[in-house]
Amino acid sequence: MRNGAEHVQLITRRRLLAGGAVLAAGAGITLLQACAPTAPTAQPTAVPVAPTLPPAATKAAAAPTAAPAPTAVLTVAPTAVPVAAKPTAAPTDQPVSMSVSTSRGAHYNPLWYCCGSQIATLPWILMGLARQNTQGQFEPWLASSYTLDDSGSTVTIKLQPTARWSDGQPITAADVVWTWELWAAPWIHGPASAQSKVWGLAGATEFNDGTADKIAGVQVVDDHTITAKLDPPNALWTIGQQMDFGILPKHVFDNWPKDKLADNPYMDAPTVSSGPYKFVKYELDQYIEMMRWDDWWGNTVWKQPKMTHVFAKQLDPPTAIAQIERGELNVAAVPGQEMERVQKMPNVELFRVPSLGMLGYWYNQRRPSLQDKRVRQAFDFALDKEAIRKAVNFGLGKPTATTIMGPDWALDPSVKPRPYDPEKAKALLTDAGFDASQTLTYLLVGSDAFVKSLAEVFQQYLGQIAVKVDLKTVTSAVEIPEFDKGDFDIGLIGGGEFARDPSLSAAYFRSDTAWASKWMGYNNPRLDELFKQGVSTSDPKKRAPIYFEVQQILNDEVPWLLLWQLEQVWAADKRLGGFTPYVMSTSTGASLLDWTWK
Amino acid sequence: MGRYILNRVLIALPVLIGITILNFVFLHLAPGDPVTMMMPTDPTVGASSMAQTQEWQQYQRARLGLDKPLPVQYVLWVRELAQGNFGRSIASGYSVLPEVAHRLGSTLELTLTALAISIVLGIGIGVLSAVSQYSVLDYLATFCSFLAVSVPGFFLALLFIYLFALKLHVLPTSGMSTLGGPASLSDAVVHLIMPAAVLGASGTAALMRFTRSSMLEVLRQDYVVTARSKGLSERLIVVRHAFRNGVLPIITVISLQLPGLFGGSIIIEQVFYWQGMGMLGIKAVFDRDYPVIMALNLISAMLVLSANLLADIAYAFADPRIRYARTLR
Repeated sequence: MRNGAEHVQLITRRRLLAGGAVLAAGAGITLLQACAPTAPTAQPTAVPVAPTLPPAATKAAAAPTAAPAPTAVLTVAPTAVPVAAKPTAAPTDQPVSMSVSTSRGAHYNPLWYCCGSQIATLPWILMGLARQNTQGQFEPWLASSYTLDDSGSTVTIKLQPTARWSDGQPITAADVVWTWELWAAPWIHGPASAQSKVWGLAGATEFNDGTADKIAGVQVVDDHTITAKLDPPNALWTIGQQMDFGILPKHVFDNWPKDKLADNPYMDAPTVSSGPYKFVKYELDQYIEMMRWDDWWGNTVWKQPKMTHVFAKQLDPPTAIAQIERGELNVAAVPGQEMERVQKMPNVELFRVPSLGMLGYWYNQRRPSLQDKRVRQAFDFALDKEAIRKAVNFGLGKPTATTIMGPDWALDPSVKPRPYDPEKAKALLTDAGFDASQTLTYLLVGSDAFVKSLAEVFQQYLGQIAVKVDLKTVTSAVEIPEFDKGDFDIGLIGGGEFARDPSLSAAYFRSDTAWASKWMGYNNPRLDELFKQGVSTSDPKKRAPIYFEVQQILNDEVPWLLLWQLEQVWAADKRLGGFTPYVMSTSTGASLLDWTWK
Repeated sequence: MGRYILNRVLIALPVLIGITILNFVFLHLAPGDPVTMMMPTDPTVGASSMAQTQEWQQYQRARLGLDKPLPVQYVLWVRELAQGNFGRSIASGYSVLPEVAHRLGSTLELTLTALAISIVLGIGIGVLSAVSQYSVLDYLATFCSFLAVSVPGFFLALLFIYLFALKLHVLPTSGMSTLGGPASLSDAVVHLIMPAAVLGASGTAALMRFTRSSMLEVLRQDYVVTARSKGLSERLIVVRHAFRNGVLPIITVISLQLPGLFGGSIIIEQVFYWQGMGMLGIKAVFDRDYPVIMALNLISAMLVLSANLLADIAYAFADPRIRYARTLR
């Protein structure tokens, strides 16, 4: 039986197939044409094999305007740049937007300062004593100065005398001490990173474990001066401690129960601010909106920012790149695989700058197979790091032998990365009596293609010197329990802020640290002594020979097999003036005070 | 009818409780917990401090109640829930209920729009396809429906972004509104088009196929022939006699689409940066943020059960035989 639509012309199955084929072919050609010109470079998933690795196409004609990390900031005088007292009008009210990274536990609670979105914005809303500049160095911000005595046992902090909160209250030493106590408090409902910021202050441990009702080493001298004793003495405390944590307005929390701090509305919306921008809105995992505080007290100390309306968008890299191409975003960090595509965008300028961090493999020396340093050296010789860098990392990065990567005065020119020499690697393994029948375990955390490719590269290169490696894949949720368990031999490590100061390497290699003692099983008393000496003075001339020896030891003992120093790539809207590339992907907006529309 | 609805609700309740128990158990059996996720592995942010001590972890677990036996934790969760307290996010500290409620609105906006697109286009084209069987329109609709079902949502999303945002410049790449611009309905609609269209694509195709086959079956029934022989207009036959009977099985298909839409929205929200429950859920899963995950699971389960209930009611409403059968029993 036919339905009632006989008037509709029928077509045969053959005609249908022919028509469908034509349609499909047409659609396919259209798609291919549409996708061909600017399709992004694929993420490298294939495992490159030494020694004939083809170099990846990386020809970003970037403007490497930023120098490597400069010399360390030590004790500081105010860097105030006096500007006309009357604020100048911004050229336009057009909002500016930048992408900021998200991290696990992304949030805006100022007590939980930890992640990309906050690092990029909070210093502009709630000023810390210092803030990181585009080179990753700390500069005085809410503090007019912070000075360490020669022995490194006492730091004196002076606050900007004209500083005030946006509700008109003065910013005083009491705010600083109260904030420090919050960071040290055990009842704070937040990640552990916040508590580490006051670590090193004498009495912080006792305050944390409840045996003291205040941090004993901290003294308020007057409304704008604080002294803090350091335990142990550390002439570089102001460098190692990240003093960019926002100081909070104590008066907002007066009479608020300390164990209910998270319930104070201020924790969701810090509307009383101290910086050049006021908090407007935080859409969880979406964006942070800031508006310029036109009457900011700092206009006369620094300068008034020209951008009136700022958005920090929490975007993953592919979305950020699509948005910057479309003009919906003005500044973004660029992953290596997107570099070529971004370079072709007519509206965008590309920047490359050495980063403070590094990438490499770390050894679990709790396992007997890796306790002989000749085995670790052999693996270093077995990897063609230059070929890996080109093939897997799009040519980004700079060779480095150890985590002492800067400043320049700290670098021992005699310490160089080991060359690719598989024969020497085999000889070293033979000398060490390495049991070739055993299989090493590589801990692969997560499913990121880049991380996976580095694991496979390691596996293949070691296969060439007859060392078998199995990959053990776990989720990031069990990373730390796996570290604790230690049922593996090699892992991947990356990031950090090593190039800011050589003393920062101590946090990994000193034998009393969690990394060295709990996870790496690494212990070198001489290194401990050197790291202690390295922070006993702030004079680079005295410190340089100390860290030269540190580099020699690290290069000889190879607790980590370094691949390269990271390199940061940025894309900025060509209409944006005053943009400076930053050494850290988290510090998007570090030059926000200089931004202007061209 | 009231008794019928009550009966359905009473059946749904134990199902809901069972879902929460299963969610709770499996969530806690998964490797990792929120405390380990709060610990930094980068020592420049404190690895050498108290953060990595067992004492710190034990303190945090005790504070969060994670050291109690699982049944006790579940009972405590239910007790708080009974008082309307969904708790605070372990990973981020925000109050769960307002945030989830806010995200629920966004997700409903997306999924209901997608569902509306599916229903209007799927049923509309399905009916046309059936009454014009073996026509150009029918074959074209069939071809498109197979394409929509076969192409994964994330690929379609990327394709749409590439074509409509980056090449044709007619739609924004992502987001729910233009940041910094004035809020307007047209801006919201412009941002909604791509994610809703992508999310609704496979549903549209499925509905189209179901409607077509259902209508074809009904159009072959004797009473349609009778109606036609009586000289009724073709339009009247299709709309009044065939469509109402043909649409009955479609109601079930629509209700079954809702769980799929909520599931699909997780991916689509990620790709389009749509501020919905999916994005919140993915983040919460990576953070092992138990209160947030439980709240999202509970609300999703309630939505799906409600959709099924609505389908039952709609079915009874559309087909009097069902409610009469219930009444007679």
